[in-house]
Amino acid sequence: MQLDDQILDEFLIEAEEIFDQLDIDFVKLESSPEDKALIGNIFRAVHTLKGSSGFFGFERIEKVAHASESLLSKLRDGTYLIDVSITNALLQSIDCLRGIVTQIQTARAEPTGDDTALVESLLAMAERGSGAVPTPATPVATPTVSEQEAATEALVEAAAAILTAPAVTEPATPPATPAAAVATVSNSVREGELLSAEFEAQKEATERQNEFSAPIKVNVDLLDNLMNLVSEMVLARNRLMSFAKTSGDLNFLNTVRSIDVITMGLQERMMMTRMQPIKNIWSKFPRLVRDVAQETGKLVQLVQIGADTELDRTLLESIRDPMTHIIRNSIDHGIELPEIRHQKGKLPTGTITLNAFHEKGMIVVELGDDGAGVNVPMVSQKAVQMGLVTQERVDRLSDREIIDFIYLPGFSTKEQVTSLSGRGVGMDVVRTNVQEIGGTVEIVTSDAGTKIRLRIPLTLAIMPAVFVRCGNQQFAIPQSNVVEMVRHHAEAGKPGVEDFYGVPVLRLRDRLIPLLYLNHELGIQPLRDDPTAPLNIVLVQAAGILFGLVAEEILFMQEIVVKSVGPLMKGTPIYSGTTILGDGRVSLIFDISGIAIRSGLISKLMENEFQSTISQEAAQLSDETDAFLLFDLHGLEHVAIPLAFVTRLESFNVKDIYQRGTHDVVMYDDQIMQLIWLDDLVDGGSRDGLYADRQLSVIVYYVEDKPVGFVVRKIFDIFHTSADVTISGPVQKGISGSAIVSGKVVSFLNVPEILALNQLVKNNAPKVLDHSMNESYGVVLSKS
Amino acid sequence: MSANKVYSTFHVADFYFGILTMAGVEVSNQFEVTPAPLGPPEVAGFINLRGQIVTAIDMHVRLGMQPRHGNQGKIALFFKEKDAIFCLLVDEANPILELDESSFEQPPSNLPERARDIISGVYKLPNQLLLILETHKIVSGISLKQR
Repeated sequence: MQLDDQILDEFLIEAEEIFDQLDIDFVKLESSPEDKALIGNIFRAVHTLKGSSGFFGFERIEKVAHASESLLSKLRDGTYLIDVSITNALLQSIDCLRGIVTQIQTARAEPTGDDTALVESLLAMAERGSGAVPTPATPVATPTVSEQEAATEALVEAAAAILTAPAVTEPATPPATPAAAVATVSNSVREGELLSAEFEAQKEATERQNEFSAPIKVNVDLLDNLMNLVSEMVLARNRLMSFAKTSGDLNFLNTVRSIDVITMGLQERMMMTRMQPIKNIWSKFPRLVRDVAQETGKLVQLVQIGADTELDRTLLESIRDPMTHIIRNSIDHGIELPEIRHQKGKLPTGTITLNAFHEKGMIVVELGDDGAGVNVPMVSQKAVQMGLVTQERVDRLSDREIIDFIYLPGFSTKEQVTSLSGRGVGMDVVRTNVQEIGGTVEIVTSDAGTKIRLRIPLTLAIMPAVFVRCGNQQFAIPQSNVVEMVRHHAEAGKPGVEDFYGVPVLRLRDRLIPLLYLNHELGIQPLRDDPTAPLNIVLVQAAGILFGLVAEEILFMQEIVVKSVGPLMKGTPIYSGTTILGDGRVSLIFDISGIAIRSGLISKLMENEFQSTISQEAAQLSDETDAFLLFDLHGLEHVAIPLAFVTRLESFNVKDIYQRGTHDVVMYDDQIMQLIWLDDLVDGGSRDGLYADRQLSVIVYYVEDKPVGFVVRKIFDIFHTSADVTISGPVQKGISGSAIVSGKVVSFLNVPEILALNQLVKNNAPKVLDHSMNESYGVVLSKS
Repeated sequence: MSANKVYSTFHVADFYFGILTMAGVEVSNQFEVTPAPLGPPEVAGFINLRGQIVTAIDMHVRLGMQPRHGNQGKIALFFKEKDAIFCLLVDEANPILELDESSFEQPPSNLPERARDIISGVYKLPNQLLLILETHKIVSGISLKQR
């Protein structure tokens, strides 16, 4: 009973392998229909399948395989040349067989079903060729060949039956139908022998090729167990190493050293057993591309580069679906119909390029097509239609930001749901799957094509991590999340940690980085509470945002073995796992996106439209630009102030404002700071009631060592634009002009003028003012 | 003939408890707990038991008392539950007892509220009561509460 099960399992695995190989071979055959060796391979594979299923008595498989074989034999002896309809019919039969085998896997018996139509169409094709028109091969020759074959087969059958019958009847227990049992078994044996007779020469050749690396099958569980043991070994080694440091015994040290070397070698090779070449899943794609291309009426060729690139088996599994999805998308949305491609001056056949390679300790998989690219206007239109964003907002978004919409669940630009795409479960699933394994997705698109880049860690089980201290505990941050580490000294004259709508932010190279204090988030008392101590910040990226984790100390980096965090922490999503340190203590590994979500940082940033501008700004950062801070006033949106006039960003409560004469002032750093309500500058603008009971956003600038605060409605972020922005003439006081920056009309603040208006600078206007500004400045002065 | 059952016994505060001794119950006082901030209060943290990560449960909290402090909870009782290893942090480990099931009784009603759902019954020993805890309920109660 158990033996039977085992044999059946072997059959199922074998069948699975055959199907995978057949998929590849058929697609290859289409491009080189004359390849006799290839047809031979296919024929042999189908034959093997038929033989083994006969042994188990799987009649459906046998019938379908037999019919395909009949058609294949005609191809093999050159009666017909393969064409699309023959390939389709054969692929259909393979799919049918695959379906049956899948069901056998669970049911352990062949499911019932009727394949007569398929079998008949296959046989008809074998009889008459793909169409009604037979190929020029002589119709007389055909029967002769099959007659001969039949004769040979009969002979071999007889011989085989005689040879094997006694051996098989012995263990065969059911006495009721010994004849039937023998018949079935001998049948399969006969075919096996026939097969080997026919292809002996070829087989030998291939076997000799494979001899040097004959692979064996090992149970996955066993490998996993071994992997665990090796992980333990690594940890034990770490402990031994720290012990050895304190010992002076040379013999002991030498022994430890050799254990170290052996462990490293062991770990390395163990990792290799988990590694599989990416071609293991790419091998399914030629068939996929062919099918989808045919369904959509497009011509597509698939190019695979770096198919031998290896990555962890589990990771490989989890990117299989995303890759399938992207390829479907590329063909369905990206690559144009041949006529359109011709009009555009492209080759009629589109190309999908898969490229896998190592980069910075990660695996990069690029899936590129030379199609039409992402239709940005259509995406934005759809986004507005779905109510994701307003028309005004979408007009202001960059292409990059608009493309980000395709990651949203339920988003699809397809008008109609087809079997291929349009259900809107595409890119969000891709991104979720890839992010789950610590990877990232990037899209680059133009009308020359789209390239989607997946960056995937090499392995999940062992990874590098940065250790930080919080209180007297050590925590690990996965290095894949870490962007950089910053030690921030609070210094006079340098902006420190500022408050941005309740989020502490750090200005780092003109970027605003929101900060999270680990002590605060975890509720751990710091060992020393010193507000003047430098901040140790680990810049991390997760859940689409960049933020800084403030730790008490950044300790070291180490390769860690990731272990489960246990079943009781399901409600605490801030830990992704645990690990054991060299000294035997347990350390927790942070789930960075979990921390970001739990802290409410993400929702706070969303509210303030902060995050998109950060990424946009990062993309635009360049040396030859001037930096401006973008903010809104009541009644005037998108006002920019040169960053040279910004010292700090502050927030004050309305209650803290005092009246001093005609000025509003606040206490600031032991000084009195005059507030300038920029809203007053706007024609018809009024601040009455607008700021009641609210926090004020204030831009602080020092004039002759005295702070001045510009009160604005809302601060967005810093943006960069080239210095020679065309500034049109001043439209109102306080504004030097306006320009179009990233598709938005931005008004530029004339700070010297404003300062002069408030009698904060002497009447001789600063040199920065150009002629036209001087003019307007003069007019205003005479007015006041 | 009624069956005898074997219990590992221990003290938490003034209570005398026992859990069924099955394969792999292990007692240790040499361990270091790594706390898990923001985790459930009952989870004292994690312990490395020969390379395996063990979730340590503070029995004081689990029984509705103040968290362990000072000399409390210095003994760990390890056990396996559904493929994961847990341990109970208790105050004192006591001998293993083999008891006749016939003296097993329903739990008394004067137990703290939180203790009642994890106690399956009580043995009346000559000079004290032995409360029998169900390990799977100790564990599942914590994960259920989080939902």
